[in-house]
Amino acid sequence: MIKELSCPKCSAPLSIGSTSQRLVVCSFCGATSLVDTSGGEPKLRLDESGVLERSSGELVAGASLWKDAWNRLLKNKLAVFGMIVLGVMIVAVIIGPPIIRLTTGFTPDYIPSDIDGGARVQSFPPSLQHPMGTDDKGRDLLARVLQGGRISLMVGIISTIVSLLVGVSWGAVAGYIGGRVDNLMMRIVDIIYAIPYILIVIVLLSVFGGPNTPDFIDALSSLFGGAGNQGLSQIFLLFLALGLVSWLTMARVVRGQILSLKNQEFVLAAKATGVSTPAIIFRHLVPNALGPVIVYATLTVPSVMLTEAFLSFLGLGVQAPYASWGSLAADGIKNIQIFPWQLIFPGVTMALTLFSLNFLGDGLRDALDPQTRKF
Amino acid sequence: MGTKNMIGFILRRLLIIIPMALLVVSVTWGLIRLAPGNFYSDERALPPAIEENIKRKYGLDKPIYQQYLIMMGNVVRGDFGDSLKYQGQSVNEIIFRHLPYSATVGVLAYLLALFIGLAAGIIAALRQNSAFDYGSMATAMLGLSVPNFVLGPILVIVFALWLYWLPPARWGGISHLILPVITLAAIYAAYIARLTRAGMLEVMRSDYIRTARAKGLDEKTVLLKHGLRGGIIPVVSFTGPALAHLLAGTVVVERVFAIPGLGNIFIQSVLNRDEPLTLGIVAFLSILIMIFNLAVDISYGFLDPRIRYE
Repeated sequence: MIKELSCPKCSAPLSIGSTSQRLVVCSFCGATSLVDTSGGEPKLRLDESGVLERSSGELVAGASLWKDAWNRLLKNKLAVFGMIVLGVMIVAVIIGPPIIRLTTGFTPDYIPSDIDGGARVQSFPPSLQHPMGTDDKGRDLLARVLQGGRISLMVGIISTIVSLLVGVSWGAVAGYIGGRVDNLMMRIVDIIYAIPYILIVIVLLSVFGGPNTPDFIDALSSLFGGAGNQGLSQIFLLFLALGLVSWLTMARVVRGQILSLKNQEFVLAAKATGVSTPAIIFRHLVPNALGPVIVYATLTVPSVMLTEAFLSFLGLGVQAPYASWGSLAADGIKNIQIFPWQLIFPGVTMALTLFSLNFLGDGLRDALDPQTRKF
Repeated sequence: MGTKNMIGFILRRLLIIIPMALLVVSVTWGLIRLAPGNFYSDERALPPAIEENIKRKYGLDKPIYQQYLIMMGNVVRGDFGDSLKYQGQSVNEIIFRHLPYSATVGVLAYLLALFIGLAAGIIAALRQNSAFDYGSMATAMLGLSVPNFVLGPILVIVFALWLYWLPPARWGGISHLILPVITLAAIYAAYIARLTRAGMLEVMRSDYIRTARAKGLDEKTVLLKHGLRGGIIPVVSFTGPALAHLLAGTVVVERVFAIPGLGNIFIQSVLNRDEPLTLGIVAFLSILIMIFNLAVDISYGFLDPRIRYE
């Protein structure tokens, strides 16, 4: 049955195809109307909510993948807890040291020379003046933990970015090109896997350390206020070296994703329209593999931070007067029997941060990848 | 799957291990040579004549490709030469002297981690969303987040220095093993618990479990004979490399508890530029990793009959 009606907005003639039709779009003004059959005869009511008024093809506004994932993430209490702790931690390490300097006058590298005649035991337990106590040189531990947090968090961020850049490009190129190139590239990954990363880090640090530091690393460290500062340049070199040993799993993850994507129609379409190979890889394939990449990157951050802490524990990482949570904890271990707070405060701060990062990573995995959700 | 197929598969994989290990050794050698400095260079520069003699003694005066070929020739024969730091001791001697310490702690830690991890993971999966599930998974996350160089000393403070229950460090009887084994096992137990739980949840929803239930098997058989076999596959793949690393020692635990294991020797050899010792340990470790990976690949076939060897 075809019923002739008119659009409630512009009065143009409209027809309904069947009695079961519920929606009609005016071909003149584009307004969407609902078919109201409650009074027996069908009547048209203008859709005023605006929800349906997107286009005739897509009637309901679809939540994007990212919005959907974000909503799922917010439902995960542990992930939200992780985000809050991380946010607080980031704010604290940024504004903490200046605030301590203004209120109590302590800087992370201030060594008091006037206590106990200057030569006796100078590590004080936690007090109002030093909420986390002091280290054995008398430096305020809270200021040092906050300062160390800057370096530890930067290790996590910068090294993860490096590992992302290398790992994603490597895996995507290997996966897309395939064949012999893929085989060769993945065997290289296997070989690097079998070499202890600590050897690679030490070699990178000694080859590019000291006077051989590449210019861009100096440039990077001067960006953070360490112009011409050898110590800070070494720390940035460490970030780079850590990134360069932690891209292997990322490359494998990305390659797997690309392998499953590269035979799909949109890649064929891109090829048919003459898109170049690099553009197909980086404009079409990589954005589609982003979910697992983000998930894995979030889990790389804590693992890189742990590796840095481990290197600092061995005395290969961050050196005094700079500090990271790892190097502070390593210093604390030496005096653990007499001054336990020297280990406990940096150790617990670091564990709390890693805990939050791991929960956030888990939450992101569940949110972005509901199919492989680990319940 | 025919037995013939499997023997062929194992033989092929075993044969690949040798060239792969040689490649790893070559790359490691290149890395060591890339780094500036020498094992004999100290704070002070040596007189040129002495340096000349040292170079001649260790063959460092020859062209670099000859040095490489000589090194590879020796490595192929399984001879890594003498350590440069520990005079008069061969690399093989050093490795096999320190391996038992690392292996004892490593294997015990691995067994402990496997026991705790599997038990916690299975129970958590069966009682999904229960208090036990949340509690054990939060504990596992804690295990992943506390660095072992923090956990170890804390255990020492509590159990050795406050309670006087256990010795704080060094090698001795069983009581000396408890703290290092717990410290080392913690992070692996956490991983295994998470992997087991995830694997079990995945498997328990699969068709063959429904079939097993439908044909009237009791829940215990379904769980242990059918569920567990598929559910622990992720654990098994994690296990291969993990066990190799545990056997070769974990530096942190060795340092904290003063255990004369291989991990510390390795770090020292790298820092000392003790090239033969570094190469020896790297070769040993990489062969170990590849053998364990092969064992893992073989065990897949027993765990999941659908997996075929190619």
